[in-house]
Amino acid sequence: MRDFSYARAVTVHEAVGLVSTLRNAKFLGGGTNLVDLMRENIEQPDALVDVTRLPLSGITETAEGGISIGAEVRNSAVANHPLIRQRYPVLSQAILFGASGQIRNMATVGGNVMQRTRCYYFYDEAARCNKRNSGAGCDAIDGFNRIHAILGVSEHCIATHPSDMCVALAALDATVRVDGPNGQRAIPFQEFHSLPGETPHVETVLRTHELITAVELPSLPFAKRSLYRKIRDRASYAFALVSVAAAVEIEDGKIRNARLALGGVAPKPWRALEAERVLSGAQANIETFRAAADAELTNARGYRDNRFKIELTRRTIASVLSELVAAEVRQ
Amino acid sequence: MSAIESVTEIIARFMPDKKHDPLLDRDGFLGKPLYRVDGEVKVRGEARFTAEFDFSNLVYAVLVCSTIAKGKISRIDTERAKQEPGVLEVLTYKNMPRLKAPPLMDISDLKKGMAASNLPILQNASVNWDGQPVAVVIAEKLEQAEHAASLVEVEYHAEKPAVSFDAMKPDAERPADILGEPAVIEIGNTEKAIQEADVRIDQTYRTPRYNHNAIEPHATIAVWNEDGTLGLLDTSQSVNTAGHTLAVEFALDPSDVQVLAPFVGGGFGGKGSLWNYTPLCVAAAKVVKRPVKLALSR
Repeated sequence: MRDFSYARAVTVHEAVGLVSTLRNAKFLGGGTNLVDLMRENIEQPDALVDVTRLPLSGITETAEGGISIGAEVRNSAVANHPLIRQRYPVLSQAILFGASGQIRNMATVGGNVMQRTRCYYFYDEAARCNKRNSGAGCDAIDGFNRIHAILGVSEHCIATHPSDMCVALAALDATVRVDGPNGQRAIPFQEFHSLPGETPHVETVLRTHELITAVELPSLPFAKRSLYRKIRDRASYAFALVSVAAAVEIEDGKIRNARLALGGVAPKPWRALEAERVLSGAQANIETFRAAADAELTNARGYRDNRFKIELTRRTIASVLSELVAAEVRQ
Repeated sequence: MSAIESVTEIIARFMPDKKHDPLLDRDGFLGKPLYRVDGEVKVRGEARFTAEFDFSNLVYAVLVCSTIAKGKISRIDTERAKQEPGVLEVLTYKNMPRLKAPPLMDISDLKKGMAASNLPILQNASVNWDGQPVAVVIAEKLEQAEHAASLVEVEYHAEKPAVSFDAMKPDAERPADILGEPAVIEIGNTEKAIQEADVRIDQTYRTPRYNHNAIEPHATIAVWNEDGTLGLLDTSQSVNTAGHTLAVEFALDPSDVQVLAPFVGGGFGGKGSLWNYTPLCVAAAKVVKRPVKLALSR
């Protein structure tokens, strides 16, 4: 770990100012990922600007009937908030399936969105990694790649995005609000994270010195019956091999609306738009669910150790949708 | 001899005095609340584990580990690391104190020591596994040692490692003994037993690999006393054999080595035999003539 300076900002303006002025500075939220990466020498900032004391720690209803979650709200607070639990249970569940109680108490929403991959080769300084060192090559593609991605990959990177929370945010069509040297803007969640392509080191569309200030959830009444399922090697404190976030609205046995997103299978939280297209307006039965999964996985590509994820994803999508529809019918 | 007596006999052989343990004959504990002697201090957070102890003049050791699984070190350069603030010494196979070969467990005489491996400890340029220590950086502060460790330059002649147990089976040899006991392989007639059984369940079960993953990571603090005796705090489940092992490696009288482990935060057998980080810490303390702490990360 290298020496670094630490500053604590109390306003967004001050935080953006500090990170712009200090050399090689990064924003610090809960530190549950950034500090680990600094200890491993993967992140090497010269300065940290603590943003956990900014006035961004509220969960409030928006004029449009949605919910705005301040970027510095701790993950536990989001998961346990009554409005989130009632209106967006998929988000509450996703967060509670992630990490541990202690980590969720520290981790912020903005930090969770910005967390980096847990690809072994990204963490191993002796390995080649295009995320760490652009153009160096990727040791995961021909390496031990059981946890790696099957969708959205490139020949330069097959690392997955590790967040559970973000999978739910993708399904819910959230918006990321940011502030920066050139003012505020709103970024649809689906556009926020970037696919690796030729530039795996570019992970989001955030511009230099921009700070996430809030994540907004739109009004989505049918999300009150939504579900997150996470498949992993052990039942606690493990990243997803495959996860599915889903919400469906059924009318007269047909699917009126469906939201589906996948985790553990792609370099970004993966909104399953192909599957949603198949689901929309179709009969709510297992054949439809399987067809939807197949549509989403048409371009899936397995590597030496992770081919099992294709079938696992197919089954998990069908199973989660079946469970949701069964719950809807019981209502 | 009943099965229970046989197990009791084996357990008794691990005991330092080999006397019959009177507790082994007691029963009736199941389902009853029992006073746990270490419970109160642990609940209060007052139990001190190995890595939590401090000494005046204490310095820190950090390992540099190999990034190949098999081969030889072709070049190792510690100059940059040595120039960093706070760095006292960097040990490699070139300047490491010469140690005797680590003794493997012999169940018939545990005083022979009980090392996890008999491979030499930082004594030559050979690399035998991925993550094998190739240098030890000792500095005033942990952060200084960690940073300097990242500056040690190592180059290798890599060879192809053998990593498949099944692939190596044809070349396997029957050892003379296993941990001091005769090597016995007995395989019954499974097919016949299944055919003759009244009830048949024919399934294949596989056991995945497991790792001893204790909550308390491994750590050592080594202190050489002025009279040449060695004091040690070590996350050991077997302080006697740890002392005997170090006595062999450092050519000491076993009575001159004292190993303490007031609390062990889990071990599952993984802290039974002595791993190489302990003698590396002892060697570091010998070279810098200060107490040295070496704590492994997970």
